Amino acid sequence: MPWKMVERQIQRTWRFRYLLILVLFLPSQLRAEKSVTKWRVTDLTGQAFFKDRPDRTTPTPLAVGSPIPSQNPVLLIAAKDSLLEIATAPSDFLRLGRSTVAEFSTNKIRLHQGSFLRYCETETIFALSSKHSDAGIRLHRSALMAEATGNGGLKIVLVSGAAQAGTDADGAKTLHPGQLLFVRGNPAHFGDLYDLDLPLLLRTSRLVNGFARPLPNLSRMRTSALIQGLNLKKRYEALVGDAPDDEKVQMWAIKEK
Amino acid sequence: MQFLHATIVKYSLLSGLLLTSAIDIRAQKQWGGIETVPRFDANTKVVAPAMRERSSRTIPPRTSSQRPGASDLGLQRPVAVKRRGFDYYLGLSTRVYYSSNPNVQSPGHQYEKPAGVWLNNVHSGFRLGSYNWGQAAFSPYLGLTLTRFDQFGDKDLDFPLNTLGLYTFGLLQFPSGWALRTGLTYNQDHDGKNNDRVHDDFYPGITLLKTFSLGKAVSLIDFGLSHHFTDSKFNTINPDELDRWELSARWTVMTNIGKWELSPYARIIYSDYRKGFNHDRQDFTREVGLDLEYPFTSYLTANFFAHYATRLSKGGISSYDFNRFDGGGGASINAKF
Repeated sequence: MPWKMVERQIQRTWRFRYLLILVLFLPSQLRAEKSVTKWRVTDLTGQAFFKDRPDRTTPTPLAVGSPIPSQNPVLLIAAKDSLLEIATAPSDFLRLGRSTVAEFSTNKIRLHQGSFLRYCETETIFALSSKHSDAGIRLHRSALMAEATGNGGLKIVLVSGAAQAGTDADGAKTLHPGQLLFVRGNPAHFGDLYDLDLPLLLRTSRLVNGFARPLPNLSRMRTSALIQGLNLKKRYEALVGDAPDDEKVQMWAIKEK
Repeated sequence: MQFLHATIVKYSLLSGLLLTSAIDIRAQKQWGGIETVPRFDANTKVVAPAMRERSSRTIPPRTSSQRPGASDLGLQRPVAVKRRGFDYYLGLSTRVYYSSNPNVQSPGHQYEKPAGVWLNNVHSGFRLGSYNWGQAAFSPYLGLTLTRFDQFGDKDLDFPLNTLGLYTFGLLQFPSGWALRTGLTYNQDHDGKNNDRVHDDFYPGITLLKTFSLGKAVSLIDFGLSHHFTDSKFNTINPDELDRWELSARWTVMTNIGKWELSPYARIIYSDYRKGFNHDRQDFTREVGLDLEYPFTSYLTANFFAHYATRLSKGGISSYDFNRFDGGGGASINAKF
Protein backbone atom coordinates (compact mmCIF):
# COMPACT_ATOMS: atom_id res chain seq x y z
CA MET A 1 0.00 0.00 0.00
CA PRO A 2 1.51 3.40 -0.87
CA TRP A 3 2.70 5.34 2.17
CA LYS A 4 0.29 8.24 1.54
CA MET A 5 -2.68 5.89 1.68
CA VAL A 6 -1.41 4.32 4.89
CA GLU A 7 -0.89 7.78 6.35
CA ARG A 8 -4.41 8.81 5.34
CA GLN A 9 -5.85 5.63 6.86
CA ILE A 10 -4.01 6.30 10.14
CA GLN A 11 -5.24 9.87 10.15
CA ARG A 12 -8.79 8.70 9.54
CA THR A 13 -8.55 6.08 12.31
CA TRP A 14 -7.21 8.62 14.77
CA ARG A 15 -9.79 11.18 13.75
CA PHE A 16 -12.47 8.63 14.50
CA ARG A 17 -10.90 7.72 17.85
CA TYR A 18 -11.06 11.37 18.82
CA LEU A 19 -14.67 11.35 17.73
CA LEU A 20 -15.44 8.32 19.88
CA ILE A 21 -13.58 9.81 22.85
CA LEU A 22 -15.53 13.03 22.34
CA VAL A 23 -18.80 11.16 22.30
CA LEU A 24 -18.11 8.73 25.14
CA PHE A 25 -16.32 11.08 27.53
CA LEU A 26 -18.07 14.34 26.78
CA PRO A 27 -17.76 16.70 29.78
CA SER A 28 -20.85 16.41 31.89
CA GLN A 29 -21.51 20.15 31.62
CA LEU A 30 -21.71 19.92 27.85
CA ARG A 31 -23.91 16.88 28.13
CA ALA A 32 -26.21 18.76 30.47
CA GLU A 33 -26.49 21.58 27.93
CA LYS A 34 -27.31 19.10 25.18
CA SER A 35 -29.86 17.31 27.31
CA VAL A 36 -31.99 20.42 27.60
CA THR A 37 -33.70 19.08 24.45
CA LYS A 38 -36.98 17.46 25.43
CA TRP A 39 -37.81 14.03 24.11
CA ARG A 40 -41.46 13.00 24.03
CA VAL A 41 -43.42 10.04 22.75
CA THR A 42 -44.91 11.08 19.41
CA ASP A 43 -46.29 7.76 18.15
CA LEU A 44 -47.14 4.50 19.83
CA THR A 45 -48.69 1.29 18.57
CA GLY A 46 -49.26 -1.36 21.25
CA GLN A 47 -47.39 -1.04 24.52
CA ALA A 48 -44.11 0.61 25.46
CA PHE A 49 -42.34 1.25 28.75
CA PHE A 50 -39.32 2.98 30.16
CA LYS A 51 -37.08 2.63 33.21
CA ASP A 52 -35.14 5.71 34.28
CA ARG A 53 -33.24 3.94 37.11
CA PRO A 54 -31.74 0.44 37.06
CA ASP A 55 -33.04 -0.24 40.58
CA ARG A 56 -36.64 0.38 39.54
CA THR A 57 -38.33 -3.00 39.41
CA THR A 58 -41.42 -2.11 37.43
CA PRO A 59 -41.07 -0.21 34.14
CA THR A 60 -43.29 2.84 33.64
CA PRO A 61 -45.84 2.59 30.80
CA LEU A 62 -45.57 5.18 28.07
CA ALA A 63 -48.33 7.02 26.25
CA VAL A 64 -48.32 9.51 23.40
CA GLY A 65 -46.99 12.79 24.83
CA SER A 66 -45.06 11.17 27.72
CA PRO A 67 -41.75 12.95 28.35
CA ILE A 68 -38.54 10.92 28.17
CA PRO A 69 -35.78 12.07 30.49
CA SER A 70 -32.68 11.72 28.35
CA GLN A 71 -30.12 13.38 30.66
CA ASN A 72 -29.10 9.96 31.94
CA PRO A 73 -29.60 6.79 29.94
CA VAL A 74 -33.10 5.40 30.18
CA LEU A 75 -34.21 1.95 29.18
CA LEU A 76 -36.85 2.02 26.46
CA ILE A 77 -38.94 -1.06 25.83
CA ALA A 78 -41.28 -1.64 22.89
CA ALA A 79 -43.34 -4.74 23.64
CA LYS A 80 -44.15 -7.57 21.22
CA ASP A 81 -46.04 -6.24 18.18
CA SER A 82 -45.50 -2.66 19.43
CA LEU A 83 -43.85 0.31 17.75
CA LEU A 84 -42.61 3.42 19.53
CA GLU A 85 -41.49 6.83 18.25
CA ILE A 86 -39.90 9.51 20.43
CA ALA A 87 -38.86 12.92 19.10
CA THR A 88 -37.41 16.28 20.08
CA ALA A 89 -38.53 17.89 16.82
CA PRO A 90 -40.24 16.73 13.61
CA SER A 91 -36.77 16.49 12.09
CA ASP A 92 -35.10 14.62 14.97
CA PHE A 93 -36.58 11.35 16.18
CA LEU A 94 -36.00 7.74 17.13
CA ARG A 95 -38.25 4.83 16.23
CA LEU A 96 -38.16 1.48 18.02
CA GLY A 97 -39.29 -1.70 16.29
CA ARG A 98 -41.16 -4.63 17.78
CA SER A 99 -39.75 -6.43 20.84
CA THR A 100 -36.98 -3.89 21.25
CA VAL A 101 -35.02 -3.08 24.37
CA ALA A 102 -32.58 -0.16 24.14
CA GLU A 103 -30.74 2.11 26.52
CA PHE A 104 -31.09 5.63 25.24
CA SER A 105 -29.56 9.01 25.93
CA THR A 106 -28.93 11.89 23.54
CA ASN A 107 -25.40 10.72 22.76
CA LYS A 108 -25.73 6.99 23.15
CA ILE A 109 -27.94 4.09 22.08
CA ARG A 110 -27.27 0.63 23.43
CA LEU A 111 -29.38 -1.95 21.66
CA HIS A 112 -30.02 -5.06 23.78
CA GLN A 113 -32.47 -6.59 21.32
CA GLY A 114 -34.70 -5.59 18.43
CA SER A 115 -34.23 -2.69 16.03
CA PHE A 116 -34.48 1.09 15.69
CA LEU A 117 -34.47 3.89 13.14
CA ARG A 118 -32.73 7.19 13.92
CA TYR A 119 -33.57 10.22 11.80
CA CYS A 120 -31.99 13.66 12.12
CA GLU A 121 -31.47 16.61 9.82
CA THR A 122 -28.67 18.33 11.72
CA GLU A 123 -25.29 16.66 12.17
CA THR A 124 -25.57 14.17 15.02
CA ILE A 125 -22.89 12.02 16.57
CA PHE A 126 -23.72 9.19 18.93
CA ALA A 127 -22.24 6.00 20.30
CA LEU A 128 -24.02 2.84 19.19
CA SER A 129 -23.53 -0.38 21.15
CA SER A 130 -24.89 -3.86 21.28
CA LYS A 131 -24.26 -6.71 23.75
CA HIS A 132 -20.68 -7.18 22.57
CA SER A 133 -19.77 -4.43 20.08
CA ASP A 134 -19.28 -0.67 20.20
CA ALA A 135 -19.32 1.73 17.29
CA GLY A 136 -19.60 5.46 16.67
CA ILE A 137 -22.10 6.94 14.23
CA ARG A 138 -22.09 10.32 12.54
CA LEU A 139 -25.30 11.29 10.73
CA HIS A 140 -26.13 14.26 8.57
CA ARG A 141 -29.64 14.61 7.15
CA SER A 142 -29.90 10.86 7.39
CA ALA A 143 -32.12 7.98 8.32
CA LEU A 144 -30.23 5.02 9.73
CA MET A 145 -31.59 1.70 10.94
CA ALA A 146 -29.87 -0.80 13.21
CA GLU A 147 -30.72 -4.25 14.48
CA ALA A 148 -29.18 -6.50 17.11
CA THR A 149 -27.72 -9.70 15.67
CA GLY A 150 -27.46 -13.19 17.15
CA ASN A 151 -23.70 -12.89 17.67
CA GLY A 152 -24.15 -9.88 19.94
CA GLY A 153 -23.17 -7.47 17.19
CA LEU A 154 -25.08 -5.04 15.02
CA LYS A 155 -26.52 -4.75 11.59
CA ILE A 156 -26.52 -1.13 10.36
CA VAL A 157 -28.48 0.03 7.31
CA LEU A 158 -28.33 3.57 5.95
CA VAL A 159 -31.67 4.42 4.35
CA SER A 160 -30.92 7.94 3.17
CA GLY A 161 -28.48 10.82 3.47
CA ALA A 162 -24.86 10.59 4.48
CA ALA A 163 -23.38 8.68 7.39
CA GLN A 164 -20.13 7.38 8.77
CA ALA A 165 -19.73 4.39 11.05
CA GLY A 166 -16.54 3.84 12.99
CA THR A 167 -14.91 1.35 15.30
CA ASP A 168 -11.70 1.62 17.26
CA ALA A 169 -10.14 -1.23 15.35
CA ASP A 170 -11.22 -0.41 11.79
CA GLY A 171 -11.53 3.38 11.78
CA ALA A 172 -14.30 5.20 9.92
CA LYS A 173 -16.33 3.91 7.01
CA THR A 174 -18.59 6.06 4.86
CA LEU A 175 -21.96 4.50 4.11
CA HIS A 176 -24.07 5.15 1.03
CA PRO A 177 -27.89 4.96 0.98
CA GLY A 178 -28.98 1.33 0.76
CA GLN A 179 -25.80 -0.12 2.29
CA LEU A 180 -25.86 -2.70 5.07
CA LEU A 181 -22.85 -3.13 7.35
CA PHE A 182 -22.30 -5.74 10.03
CA VAL A 183 -20.40 -4.82 13.19
CA ARG A 184 -19.16 -7.75 15.25
CA GLY A 185 -16.83 -8.76 18.08
CA ASN A 186 -15.05 -7.01 20.89
CA PRO A 187 -12.99 -5.02 20.01
CA ALA A 188 -15.51 -4.28 17.31
CA HIS A 189 -14.69 -4.93 13.66
CA PHE A 190 -16.66 -4.28 10.52
CA GLY A 191 -18.15 -7.37 8.95
CA ASP A 192 -19.55 -7.79 5.46
CA LEU A 193 -20.91 -4.81 3.54
CA TYR A 194 -23.88 -5.23 1.18
CA ASP A 195 -25.77 -2.96 -1.17
CA LEU A 196 -29.48 -3.61 -0.67
CA ASP A 197 -32.43 -3.33 -3.01
CA LEU A 198 -33.69 0.05 -1.75
CA PRO A 199 -37.23 -0.01 -3.23
CA LEU A 200 -37.83 -3.43 -1.64
CA LEU A 201 -36.37 -2.29 1.67
CA LEU A 202 -38.45 0.91 1.73
CA ARG A 203 -41.64 -0.94 0.83
CA THR A 204 -41.25 -3.67 3.45
CA SER A 205 -39.71 -1.81 6.39
CA ARG A 206 -41.99 -1.45 9.42
CA LEU A 207 -39.63 1.18 10.82
CA VAL A 208 -40.29 3.25 7.69
CA ASN A 209 -43.98 2.48 7.05
CA GLY A 210 -45.38 1.35 10.39
CA PHE A 211 -45.90 4.86 11.79
CA ALA A 212 -48.58 7.49 11.22
CA ARG A 213 -46.12 10.13 10.01
CA PRO A 214 -44.14 9.36 6.85
CA LEU A 215 -40.40 9.93 7.01
CA PRO A 216 -39.67 13.63 6.29
CA ASN A 217 -37.44 12.98 3.27
CA LEU A 218 -39.33 10.01 1.85
CA SER A 219 -39.43 11.58 -1.62
CA ARG A 220 -35.64 11.94 -1.59
CA MET A 221 -35.35 8.29 -0.50
CA ARG A 222 -37.61 7.21 -3.34
CA THR A 223 -35.43 9.20 -5.73
CA SER A 224 -32.36 7.43 -4.31
CA ALA A 225 -34.17 4.15 -4.96
CA LEU A 226 -34.86 5.26 -8.53
CA ILE A 227 -31.20 6.12 -9.07
CA GLN A 228 -30.17 2.77 -7.59
CA GLY A 229 -32.42 1.17 -10.21
CA LEU A 230 -30.57 3.07 -12.95
CA ASN A 231 -27.19 2.02 -11.56
CA LEU A 232 -28.20 -1.57 -10.95
CA LYS A 233 -25.96 -4.30 -12.32
CA LYS A 234 -27.52 -7.35 -10.72
CA ARG A 235 -30.05 -8.49 -8.11
CA TYR A 236 -29.00 -11.55 -6.15
CA GLU A 237 -31.56 -14.27 -5.54
CA ALA A 238 -31.12 -14.06 -1.78
CA LEU A 239 -32.09 -12.17 1.34
CA VAL A 240 -29.68 -11.26 4.12
CA GLY A 241 -30.64 -12.73 7.47
CA ASP A 242 -29.02 -12.82 10.89
CA ALA A 243 -25.35 -13.15 11.85
CA PRO A 244 -25.58 -16.07 14.32
CA ASP A 245 -21.84 -16.04 15.00
CA ASP A 246 -18.82 -14.00 13.94
CA GLU A 247 -18.03 -16.32 11.03
CA LYS A 248 -21.40 -16.67 9.31
CA VAL A 249 -24.13 -14.54 7.81
CA GLN A 250 -27.47 -16.24 7.11
CA MET A 251 -28.68 -15.96 3.55
CA TRP A 252 -32.17 -16.95 2.48
CA ALA A 253 -32.68 -18.14 -1.08
CA ILE A 254 -35.45 -16.42 -3.03
CA LYS A 255 -37.80 -18.48 -5.14
CA GLU A 256 -39.33 -16.15 -7.72
CA LYS A 257 -42.80 -17.21 -8.87
CA MET B 1 -49.33 9.77 -59.72
CA GLN B 2 -51.02 13.15 -59.43
CA PHE B 3 -48.65 14.16 -56.71
CA LEU B 4 -45.60 13.07 -58.74
CA HIS B 5 -46.70 15.15 -61.69
CA ALA B 6 -47.64 18.09 -59.56
CA THR B 7 -44.31 18.05 -57.86
CA ILE B 8 -42.37 17.80 -61.11
CA VAL B 9 -44.41 20.63 -62.65
CA LYS B 10 -43.91 22.78 -59.62
CA TYR B 11 -40.16 22.41 -59.61
CA SER B 12 -39.91 22.73 -63.40
CA LEU B 13 -41.76 25.99 -63.39
CA LEU B 14 -40.25 27.53 -60.35
CA SER B 15 -36.65 26.51 -60.43
CA GLY B 16 -36.13 25.23 -63.89
CA LEU B 17 -34.70 22.08 -62.46
CA LEU B 18 -35.84 18.77 -63.77
CA LEU B 19 -36.14 16.42 -60.90
CA THR B 20 -35.96 12.76 -61.53
CA SER B 21 -38.64 10.54 -60.17
CA ALA B 22 -36.02 8.88 -57.96
CA ILE B 23 -35.30 12.17 -56.24
CA ASP B 24 -38.99 12.77 -55.86
CA ILE B 25 -39.46 9.45 -54.14
CA ARG B 26 -36.56 10.19 -51.83
CA ALA B 27 -38.21 13.49 -51.07
CA GLN B 28 -41.44 11.74 -50.34
CA LYS B 29 -39.66 9.54 -47.82
CA GLN B 30 -38.83 12.61 -45.82
CA TRP B 31 -41.98 14.55 -46.36
CA GLY B 32 -44.60 14.68 -43.80
CA GLY B 33 -44.08 13.82 -40.20
CA ILE B 34 -43.58 10.12 -40.44
CA GLU B 35 -40.23 8.54 -40.95
CA THR B 36 -40.02 6.00 -43.72
CA VAL B 37 -36.81 4.79 -42.15
CA PRO B 38 -37.64 3.93 -38.57
CA ARG B 39 -35.09 5.88 -36.62
CA PHE B 40 -33.45 4.76 -33.44
CA ASP B 41 -35.76 5.73 -30.61
CA ALA B 42 -33.48 6.69 -27.75
CA ASN B 43 -36.51 6.96 -25.53
CA THR B 44 -37.31 3.29 -25.94
CA LYS B 45 -33.79 2.30 -24.98
CA VAL B 46 -33.83 4.47 -21.91
CA VAL B 47 -37.29 3.92 -20.57
CA ALA B 48 -37.81 0.28 -21.45
CA PRO B 49 -35.16 -1.12 -19.08
CA ALA B 50 -36.58 1.01 -16.28
CA MET B 51 -40.02 -0.33 -17.07
CA ARG B 52 -38.74 -3.89 -17.04
CA GLU B 53 -37.22 -3.23 -13.61
CA ARG B 54 -40.59 -2.02 -12.42
CA SER B 55 -42.42 -4.96 -13.87
CA SER B 56 -40.10 -7.44 -12.20
CA ARG B 57 -40.63 -5.69 -8.90
CA THR B 58 -44.37 -6.14 -8.93
CA ILE B 59 -43.90 -9.78 -7.87
CA PRO B 60 -42.70 -9.76 -4.27
CA PRO B 61 -40.02 -12.37 -3.65
CA ARG B 62 -41.18 -15.47 -1.79
CA THR B 63 -38.50 -16.53 0.63
CA SER B 64 -37.49 -20.00 1.66
CA SER B 65 -38.39 -19.09 5.22
CA GLN B 66 -40.71 -16.67 6.97
CA ARG B 67 -37.96 -15.55 9.33
CA PRO B 68 -36.36 -12.80 7.21
CA GLY B 69 -39.77 -11.12 6.98
CA ALA B 70 -39.75 -10.87 10.77
CA SER B 71 -37.17 -8.06 10.74
CA ASP B 72 -38.62 -4.57 11.13
CA LEU B 73 -35.79 -3.25 8.98
CA GLY B 74 -37.50 -4.75 5.91
CA LEU B 75 -36.44 -7.32 3.35
CA GLN B 76 -32.72 -7.05 2.70
CA ARG B 77 -32.00 -8.23 -0.81
CA PRO B 78 -28.39 -7.76 -1.90
CA VAL B 79 -27.74 -6.11 -5.23
CA ALA B 80 -24.68 -5.13 -7.24
CA VAL B 81 -24.70 -1.45 -8.18
CA LYS B 82 -22.40 0.93 -9.97
CA ARG B 83 -20.92 3.44 -7.58
CA ARG B 84 -20.71 5.96 -10.44
CA GLY B 85 -23.81 6.14 -12.58
CA PHE B 86 -21.98 6.29 -15.89
CA ASP B 87 -23.24 3.94 -18.61
CA TYR B 88 -22.07 3.21 -22.10
CA TYR B 89 -24.56 1.62 -24.48
CA LEU B 90 -23.72 -0.17 -27.69
CA GLY B 91 -26.21 -1.91 -29.91
CA LEU B 92 -26.59 -3.52 -33.33
CA SER B 93 -29.86 -4.49 -34.90
CA THR B 94 -31.01 -5.91 -38.18
CA ARG B 95 -34.55 -6.25 -39.51
CA VAL B 96 -36.01 -7.77 -42.63
CA TYR B 97 -39.64 -7.03 -43.32
CA TYR B 98 -42.41 -6.69 -45.82
CA SER B 99 -43.74 -3.19 -46.43
CA SER B 100 -46.89 -2.50 -48.43
CA ASN B 101 -45.75 1.04 -49.21
CA PRO B 102 -42.09 1.54 -48.27
CA ASN B 103 -41.81 4.91 -50.04
CA VAL B 104 -44.82 6.47 -48.34
CA GLN B 105 -46.74 7.25 -51.53
CA SER B 106 -50.30 8.46 -51.74
CA PRO B 107 -52.98 5.99 -52.88
CA GLY B 108 -52.84 5.42 -56.64
CA HIS B 109 -49.30 6.69 -57.05
CA GLN B 110 -47.15 4.58 -59.41
CA TYR B 111 -44.64 3.94 -56.64
CA GLU B 112 -47.20 2.96 -54.08
CA LYS B 113 -46.22 -0.68 -54.22
CA PRO B 114 -44.88 -3.26 -51.83
CA ALA B 115 -41.27 -4.31 -51.39
CA GLY B 116 -38.99 -6.03 -48.97
CA VAL B 117 -36.95 -3.85 -46.66
CA TRP B 118 -33.66 -4.61 -44.96
CA LEU B 119 -32.80 -2.25 -42.18
CA ASN B 120 -29.52 -2.24 -40.26
CA ASN B 121 -28.72 -0.02 -37.35
CA VAL B 122 -25.84 0.60 -35.00
CA HIS B 123 -26.26 2.86 -32.01
CA SER B 124 -24.06 4.00 -29.22
CA GLY B 125 -24.67 6.29 -26.28
CA PHE B 126 -23.75 7.40 -22.82
CA ARG B 127 -25.60 8.11 -19.61
CA LEU B 128 -23.56 10.75 -17.87
CA GLY B 129 -24.54 9.95 -14.30
CA SER B 130 -27.78 10.30 -12.37
CA TYR B 131 -28.34 13.06 -9.88
CA ASN B 132 -30.72 13.23 -6.93
CA TRP B 133 -32.62 16.50 -7.20
CA GLY B 134 -34.79 15.71 -4.19
CA GLN B 135 -38.15 15.17 -5.85
CA ALA B 136 -36.66 13.73 -9.05
CA ALA B 137 -33.61 12.04 -10.54
CA PHE B 138 -31.90 13.79 -13.43
CA SER B 139 -29.85 11.86 -16.00
CA PRO B 140 -28.19 13.42 -19.07
CA TYR B 141 -27.71 11.23 -22.15
CA LEU B 142 -25.96 11.64 -25.47
CA GLY B 143 -25.54 9.29 -28.37
CA LEU B 144 -25.12 8.51 -32.03
CA THR B 145 -26.91 6.21 -34.47
CA LEU B 146 -26.19 4.99 -38.00
CA THR B 147 -28.93 3.41 -40.10
CA ARG B 148 -28.86 1.75 -43.50
CA PHE B 149 -32.15 1.34 -45.39
CA ASP B 150 -32.35 -1.00 -48.41
CA GLN B 151 -35.28 -2.21 -50.45
CA PHE B 152 -35.50 -5.43 -52.42
CA GLY B 153 -38.00 -7.40 -54.50
CA ASP B 154 -38.91 -4.65 -56.97
CA LYS B 155 -36.27 -3.20 -59.29
CA ASP B 156 -38.21 0.11 -59.53
CA LEU B 157 -37.83 0.65 -55.83
CA ASP B 158 -34.12 0.88 -55.33
CA PHE B 159 -33.55 3.93 -53.14
CA PRO B 160 -31.09 3.06 -50.41
CA LEU B 161 -30.56 5.58 -47.68
CA ASN B 162 -27.94 6.14 -44.99
CA THR B 163 -28.90 8.12 -41.92
CA LEU B 164 -26.64 9.56 -39.28
CA GLY B 165 -28.34 10.60 -36.06
CA LEU B 166 -27.00 12.51 -33.08
CA TYR B 167 -28.96 13.15 -29.92
CA THR B 168 -28.66 14.59 -26.47
CA PHE B 169 -31.36 14.83 -23.85
CA GLY B 170 -31.97 15.18 -20.15
CA LEU B 171 -34.35 12.79 -18.45
CA LEU B 172 -36.06 13.90 -15.27
CA GLN B 173 -37.66 10.88 -13.56
CA PHE B 174 -40.06 11.18 -10.65
CA PRO B 175 -40.66 8.27 -8.23
CA SER B 176 -44.40 8.50 -9.03
CA GLY B 177 -43.70 7.17 -12.53
CA TRP B 178 -43.78 10.52 -14.33
CA ALA B 179 -40.78 11.52 -16.43
CA LEU B 180 -39.90 14.56 -18.50
CA ARG B 181 -37.50 14.33 -21.41
CA THR B 182 -36.11 17.39 -23.12
CA GLY B 183 -33.56 17.08 -25.84
CA LEU B 184 -32.06 17.90 -29.20
CA THR B 185 -31.91 15.49 -32.13
CA TYR B 186 -30.16 15.85 -35.45
CA ASN B 187 -30.63 13.48 -38.38
CA GLN B 188 -28.72 13.67 -41.64
CA ASP B 189 -29.84 11.54 -44.60
CA HIS B 190 -27.51 10.52 -47.42
CA ASP B 191 -28.25 8.88 -50.76
CA GLY B 192 -27.29 5.25 -50.26
CA LYS B 193 -25.71 5.00 -53.73
CA ASN B 194 -23.47 8.06 -54.03
CA ASN B 195 -23.56 9.25 -50.41
CA ASP B 196 -24.88 12.72 -51.39
CA ARG B 197 -26.44 14.56 -48.49
CA VAL B 198 -30.15 14.85 -49.24
CA HIS B 199 -31.87 15.99 -46.09
CA ASP B 200 -31.13 17.43 -42.65
CA ASP B 201 -33.55 17.48 -39.76
CA PHE B 202 -32.80 19.16 -36.45
CA TYR B 203 -35.41 19.23 -33.74
CA PRO B 204 -35.66 20.23 -30.12
CA GLY B 205 -38.36 18.29 -28.34
CA ILE B 206 -40.02 17.79 -25.01
CA THR B 207 -41.83 14.61 -23.97
CA LEU B 208 -43.88 13.93 -20.88
CA LEU B 209 -44.05 10.25 -19.96
CA LYS B 210 -45.97 8.31 -17.37
CA THR B 211 -45.51 4.65 -16.50
CA PHE B 212 -48.11 2.75 -14.51
CA SER B 213 -49.13 -0.80 -13.77
CA LEU B 214 -51.97 -2.35 -15.69
CA GLY B 215 -52.60 -5.68 -13.99
CA LYS B 216 -49.40 -7.62 -14.49
CA ALA B 217 -48.38 -5.40 -17.41
CA VAL B 218 -46.60 -2.07 -17.41
CA SER B 219 -48.10 0.74 -19.41
CA LEU B 220 -46.43 3.85 -20.78
CA ILE B 221 -48.18 6.95 -22.04
CA ASP B 222 -46.19 9.77 -23.57
CA PHE B 223 -47.01 13.16 -25.00
CA GLY B 224 -44.45 14.90 -27.18
CA LEU B 225 -44.00 18.34 -28.67
CA SER B 226 -41.23 19.16 -31.11
CA HIS B 227 -40.30 21.62 -33.79
CA HIS B 228 -38.43 20.31 -36.83
CA PHE B 229 -35.96 22.55 -38.66
CA THR B 230 -35.27 20.93 -41.99
CA ASP B 231 -33.02 21.44 -44.99
CA SER B 232 -33.79 19.47 -48.16
CA LYS B 233 -30.96 19.61 -50.67
CA PHE B 234 -33.21 18.75 -53.61
CA ASN B 235 -35.55 21.64 -52.90
CA THR B 236 -33.62 24.74 -53.95
CA ILE B 237 -36.55 27.16 -53.68
CA ASN B 238 -37.84 26.25 -50.24
CA PRO B 239 -35.26 23.97 -48.60
CA ASP B 240 -37.02 24.40 -45.26
CA GLU B 241 -40.47 23.56 -46.59
CA LEU B 242 -40.72 20.56 -44.27
CA ASP B 243 -40.27 22.65 -41.12
CA ARG B 244 -43.12 21.78 -38.82
CA TRP B 245 -44.54 21.59 -35.34
CA GLU B 246 -45.37 18.12 -34.19
CA LEU B 247 -47.62 17.05 -31.37
CA SER B 248 -47.83 13.35 -30.58
CA ALA B 249 -49.30 10.93 -28.08
CA ARG B 250 -48.45 7.26 -27.69
CA TRP B 251 -49.74 4.47 -25.49
CA THR B 252 -47.66 1.34 -25.05
CA VAL B 253 -48.41 -1.70 -22.92
CA MET B 254 -45.57 -4.07 -22.05
CA THR B 255 -46.38 -7.55 -20.87
CA ASN B 256 -44.73 -10.96 -20.72
CA ILE B 257 -46.01 -14.34 -21.84
CA GLY B 258 -43.41 -16.85 -20.79
CA LYS B 259 -40.13 -15.47 -22.07
CA TRP B 260 -41.85 -13.42 -24.77
CA GLU B 261 -42.21 -9.71 -24.26
CA LEU B 262 -45.24 -8.25 -26.02
CA SER B 263 -45.64 -4.51 -26.58
CA PRO B 264 -48.78 -3.40 -28.39
CA TYR B 265 -48.93 0.34 -28.99
CA ALA B 266 -50.97 3.08 -30.61
CA ARG B 267 -49.79 6.53 -31.61
CA ILE B 268 -51.25 9.69 -33.10
CA ILE B 269 -49.27 12.59 -34.55
CA TYR B 270 -50.51 16.00 -35.55
CA SER B 271 -48.12 17.99 -37.80
CA ASP B 272 -48.48 21.64 -38.74
CA TYR B 273 -46.39 23.08 -41.60
CA ARG B 274 -45.86 26.81 -42.07
CA LYS B 275 -43.30 27.26 -44.87
CA GLY B 276 -43.37 27.53 -48.70
CA PHE B 277 -45.99 25.50 -50.50
CA ASN B 278 -46.69 23.72 -47.27
CA HIS B 279 -47.72 26.89 -45.46
CA ASP B 280 -51.31 25.64 -45.02
CA ARG B 281 -50.57 21.93 -44.72
CA GLN B 282 -51.64 19.84 -41.75
CA ASP B 283 -51.21 16.10 -41.27
CA PHE B 284 -52.88 13.69 -38.94
CA THR B 285 -51.12 10.33 -38.67
CA ARG B 286 -52.34 7.26 -36.82
CA GLU B 287 -50.26 4.20 -36.05
CA VAL B 288 -50.94 0.89 -34.34
CA GLY B 289 -48.46 -1.91 -33.89
CA LEU B 290 -47.28 -4.91 -31.98
CA ASP B 291 -43.66 -5.67 -31.05
CA LEU B 292 -42.64 -9.12 -29.86
CA GLU B 293 -39.26 -9.76 -28.35
CA TYR B 294 -37.67 -13.03 -27.35
CA PRO B 295 -34.51 -12.65 -25.26
CA PHE B 296 -31.97 -15.45 -25.73
CA THR B 297 -29.63 -13.79 -23.27
CA SER B 298 -29.58 -10.39 -21.58
CA TYR B 299 -27.91 -8.91 -24.67
CA LEU B 300 -29.18 -10.99 -27.62
CA THR B 301 -32.84 -10.85 -28.63
CA ALA B 302 -34.97 -11.89 -31.58
CA ASN B 303 -37.86 -9.64 -32.47
CA PHE B 304 -40.96 -9.65 -34.65
CA PHE B 305 -43.30 -6.82 -35.40
CA ALA B 306 -46.42 -5.77 -37.25
CA HIS B 307 -47.26 -2.11 -37.79
CA TYR B 308 -49.96 -0.20 -39.61
CA ALA B 309 -49.86 3.56 -40.28
CA THR B 310 -52.21 5.86 -42.09
CA ARG B 311 -52.00 9.61 -42.71
CA LEU B 312 -54.69 12.11 -43.55
CA SER B 313 -53.40 15.37 -44.95
CA LYS B 314 -54.94 18.67 -45.91
CA GLY B 315 -53.45 21.77 -47.53
CA GLY B 316 -50.20 21.80 -49.50
CA ILE B 317 -50.05 21.45 -53.25
CA SER B 318 -50.91 17.79 -53.48
CA SER B 319 -52.22 14.82 -51.53
CA TYR B 320 -49.90 13.50 -48.84
CA ASP B 321 -52.25 10.78 -47.63
CA PHE B 322 -50.86 7.31 -47.37
CA ASN B 323 -51.48 3.86 -45.87
CA ARG B 324 -48.73 1.43 -44.99
CA PHE B 325 -48.43 -1.97 -43.40
CA ASP B 326 -45.05 -3.34 -42.26
CA GLY B 327 -44.37 -6.75 -40.82
CA GLY B 328 -41.27 -8.82 -40.26
CA GLY B 329 -38.55 -9.67 -37.81
CA GLY B 330 -34.93 -9.43 -36.91
CA ALA B 331 -32.40 -9.64 -34.16
CA SER B 332 -30.51 -7.24 -31.97
CA ILE B 333 -27.49 -7.20 -29.72
CA ASN B 334 -27.50 -4.62 -26.96
CA ALA B 335 -24.84 -4.18 -24.35
CA LYS B 336 -24.55 -1.79 -21.41
CA PHE B 337 -21.18 -1.21 -19.78
